[in-house]
Amino acid sequence: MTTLRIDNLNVSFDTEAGAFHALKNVSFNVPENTIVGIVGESGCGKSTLINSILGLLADNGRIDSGDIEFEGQDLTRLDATAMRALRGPRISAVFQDPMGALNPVLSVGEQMRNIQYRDDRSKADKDARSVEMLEAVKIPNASEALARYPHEFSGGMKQRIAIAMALMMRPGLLIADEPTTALDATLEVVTLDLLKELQEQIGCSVLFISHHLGVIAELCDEVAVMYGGEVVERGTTQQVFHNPHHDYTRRLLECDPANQRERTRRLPTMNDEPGSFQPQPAPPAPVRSAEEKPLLTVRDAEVTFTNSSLFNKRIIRGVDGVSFDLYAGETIGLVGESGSGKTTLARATARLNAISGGSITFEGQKVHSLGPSDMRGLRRDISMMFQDPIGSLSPRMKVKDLVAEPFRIHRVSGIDLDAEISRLLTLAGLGPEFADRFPHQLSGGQARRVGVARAIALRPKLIIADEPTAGLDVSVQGGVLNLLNDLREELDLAMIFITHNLNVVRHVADRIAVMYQGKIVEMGDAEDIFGSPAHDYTKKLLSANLAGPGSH
Amino acid sequence: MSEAIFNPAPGRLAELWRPIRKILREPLGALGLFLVLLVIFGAVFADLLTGWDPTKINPRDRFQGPNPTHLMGTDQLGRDLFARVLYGGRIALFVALVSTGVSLVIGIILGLIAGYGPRWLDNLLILLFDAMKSFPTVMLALALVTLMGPSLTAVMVVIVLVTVPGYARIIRTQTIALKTSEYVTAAQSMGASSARILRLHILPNVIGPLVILASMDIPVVIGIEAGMSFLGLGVRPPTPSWGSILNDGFTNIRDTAWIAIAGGVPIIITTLGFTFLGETLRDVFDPRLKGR
Repeated sequence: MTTLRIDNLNVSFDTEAGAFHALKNVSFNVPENTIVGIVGESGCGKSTLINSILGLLADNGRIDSGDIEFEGQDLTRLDATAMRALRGPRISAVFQDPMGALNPVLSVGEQMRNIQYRDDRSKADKDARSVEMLEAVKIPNASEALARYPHEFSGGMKQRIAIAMALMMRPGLLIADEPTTALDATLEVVTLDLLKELQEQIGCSVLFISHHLGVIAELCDEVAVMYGGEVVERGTTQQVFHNPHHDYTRRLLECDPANQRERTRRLPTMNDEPGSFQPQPAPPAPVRSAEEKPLLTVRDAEVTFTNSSLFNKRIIRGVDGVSFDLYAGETIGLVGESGSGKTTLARATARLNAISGGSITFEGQKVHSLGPSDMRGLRRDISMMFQDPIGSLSPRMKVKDLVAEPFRIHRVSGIDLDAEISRLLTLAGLGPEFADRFPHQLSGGQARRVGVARAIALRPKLIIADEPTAGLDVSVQGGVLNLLNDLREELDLAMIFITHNLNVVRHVADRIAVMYQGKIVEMGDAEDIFGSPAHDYTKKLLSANLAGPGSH
Repeated sequence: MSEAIFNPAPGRLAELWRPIRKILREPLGALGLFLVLLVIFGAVFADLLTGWDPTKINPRDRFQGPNPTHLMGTDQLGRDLFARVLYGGRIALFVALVSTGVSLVIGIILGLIAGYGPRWLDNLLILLFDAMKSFPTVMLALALVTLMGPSLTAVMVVIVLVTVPGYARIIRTQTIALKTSEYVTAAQSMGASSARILRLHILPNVIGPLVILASMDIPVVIGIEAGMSFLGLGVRPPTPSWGSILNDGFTNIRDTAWIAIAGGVPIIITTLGFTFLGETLRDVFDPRLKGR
């Protein structure tokens, strides 16, 4: 018995540049009571596929041909009313952003009651069922949780509530669109386990979309690999991951940094010939003499926030007594779950936050007590890269002006600005044709490269990179990491590399610092931390780290 | 420095033409544009369109109905109404454009300061905006006219005082939202000064919606001018204004309705025109509605 059968589906969008063929002859089945994964990079048509199944294509999109058969009904022939009757009770969905999926002004209980509006039952019965579902997704104090609002829950809890809501009507098919991408490694594992457990309990099928190969390998029974609007390969998870037939699948697997067992300074990208990749082992850690002065010294740094309401004043310690040294040319990987204080520490280092205790010293100068003119000089030496590649670029500026910004801010004279911009863009792996583009005309990876070009423009001594590969596809991620690795050797850069992706950090960092609740709980050479973690939290973090599909 | 950004790109004309074409595609937008252009045309070419002097009193011809010599008839002093309507349009547009422009500039500056500056300054400015908003327009107008005497300047001061708080508040809210955005933080981390951040990174991203709002406010502004002139608080006679024509018509409405019509119809046309145009502009440019 097949829950969902998609047969030769073709979908296109009318755009100003003519018709865009988004899905080409897509066929696959979701059998009853199974989890089917769809893998592919951004732009491969995953979202279009979901929207076609849900009947939620944008106004300019249309299904040209093909069938979408769900429980014996052809969805392409249903009108809006019939489709609406299916969505919710029979097909439901969980999306990437848990905050956006819940209505912020309604209590959780009310939203869950609204989902049951079709049932002719008393309010108390409906609430009882909501509590049951919340308990199933392990929300503590479920009956009290009903009266609370979405913002009172953490990100992981919100995503679990969204899953509870999606499964509430016991649908035949759950569509999960990157449901764990926004979560930390530890939360990701918990959420996946929960999803699997509930799926078995309810007996529904799941269509699971992700670009994270480890997650797919962990969870799914069958996989379909999408590329350029086509399904290039499908089969059982075992088959696809261990014996891939299509070239694209092979490359995709190779590009996953988790599949690089050895530490390497070069990661494979989609541009490499398949099979030609050779890892480049990282050089051994240099022996530091006693005279060598660290570039950056952080001693007992503390950052506190006051959360004051009318009656009480609460002090939150974002960073709580952190100390470390960073030498020129060295990279420290700062790892930890969200809320552990990584970003706060990074921002304090660049004096974007004030510190409330301790000291941060850069080349012998106390960063937080510099006057305005010394501070300007320091800003040349420390540059930052931000989490959101496109959001960190000013939206109304062209690429050439974005890259020129540091030169203009610091009134650098005596250089040929145009030549400098094109040199930097080339260095970052972007052609001259990008100079006149606006940020929204760039892909995530291209925007990230602009960010890199801007960060190295004034030859800084330290780069603080906050999740520089978050949200990028594996192959693009490889390219960006290679670029950073090359640049730091060329320019002798020191780098603080913040991430929650452990598979990435070991290839980049010389040393790793693990942060937990505002403190550095463990710090050491990258290899040692991975080989023999000492602290409980580090062990938990490493065991939660979903290894690549090759290890199954 | 920043000149490169404002350099006209090669396709500048085409870039200007594209939104106009989008406006014309919407029936209401096209109508709005037509009405606005009609009013502007009438005001700009007033001297060419009529030979009559709008202030010339001609008691023998008073209360004439529309006829070939006086297209819209004459008022109680025998002045040609068509000429008065055209020249009144000049006053209305002048007041609307100048005071909206002044108010935009003041509103943007105050809004940016309130949004980006220290908390106490923000609180102070918000208090000021709210205090200004809490005066009813007519009361404010009466108070100011008592102080300054009825004049065009008084009308414009009233309009600026009434509209600045709204503009400033919008700019302030958006500035606060952008203040913590990553690209502003990025500019701070590069060492950019506050003035540079406001000018290059915040202003271009907050000004769009405001310009659209201002274009939708123009009818309101024209209404205020007409209203004040109607009450005798605005333009001094004999200068023609739609509001004062309406007042002349109002006194004699039982016998000579066309005077009131001559004063009222242009107000309606202008108001509708700018409203349609403004709403279409919003639909065309508002990024949240774009592509939906």
